[in-house]
Amino acid sequence: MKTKTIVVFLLILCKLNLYSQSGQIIYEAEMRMGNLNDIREAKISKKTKSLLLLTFKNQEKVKYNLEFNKKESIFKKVEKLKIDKNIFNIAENKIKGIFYTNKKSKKILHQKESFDQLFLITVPQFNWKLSQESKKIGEYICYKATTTKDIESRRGKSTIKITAWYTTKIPFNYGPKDYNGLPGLILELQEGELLIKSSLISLFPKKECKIKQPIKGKKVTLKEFDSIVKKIVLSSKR
Amino acid sequence: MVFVFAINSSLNVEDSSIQILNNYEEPSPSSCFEAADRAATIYGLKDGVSFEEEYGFFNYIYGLCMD
Repeated sequence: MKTKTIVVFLLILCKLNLYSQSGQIIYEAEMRMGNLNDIREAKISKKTKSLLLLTFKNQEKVKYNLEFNKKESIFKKVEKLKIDKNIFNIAENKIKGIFYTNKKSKKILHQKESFDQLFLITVPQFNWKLSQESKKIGEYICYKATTTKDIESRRGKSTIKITAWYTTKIPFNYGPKDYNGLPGLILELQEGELLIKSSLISLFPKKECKIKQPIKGKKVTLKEFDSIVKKIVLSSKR
Repeated sequence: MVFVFAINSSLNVEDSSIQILNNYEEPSPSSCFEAADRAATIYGLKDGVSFEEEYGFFNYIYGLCMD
């Protein structure tokens, strides 16, 4: 009996070892533009109006890939061949570069090119407010968590609301962009008008996802980066 | 073009001139700069749009206008 139990236990261990503790999620990001009546009714030239409407009406979903293992994750755009016209994508403009998270060191890095320079930005962790509110995304029950993000723009300083839906059924606390640190994987995230939804989940592949931490770029904190950008934008004649 | 201007001139010369410019003017760096500047400012006034995003938007609209 004892030998039988040991054999069963070893078989289970072998089976578990066949699959890595890693996974991959494809997300789709899009801008919820709302109605464009404020632009249609704005007292602006026809040229400006048509350029704005042309851009806002032609928004498509953009695909991003999150790869993760027990220690770290990486989030970046799924590159595709550009066949059609080069339309400015607002979601893409909001999610640029590579986001890297290291669970052990609690390090979040954002590598991106801005104003012809490559930056490696250290991003602080978000403080989440967990709630009992839940909804089903695919086959997963997801719980709501909220946080805020401060942004400095032409309007001055403002705070935008972030809502994440995570599932404890996938025990990896990662998510899109630099959003992580929840009790499970984020399957949906709303950042202001930007909506990021998971569309494909692939867990425990036979081969573990190997993640490479980005190392190139000028090392700055998020605060330093924001101040560099503000200085460049406000001093340029566009 | 002249005919349109003549009719509109009885209403508001300035408005009709702008209208004609908008409809028929060839893209020029200055008119495109103005249109892109205005468009980017409107975009920049939306919730959560950073300085960097607004700058990217300006460059795109300017290019689109000049094309």
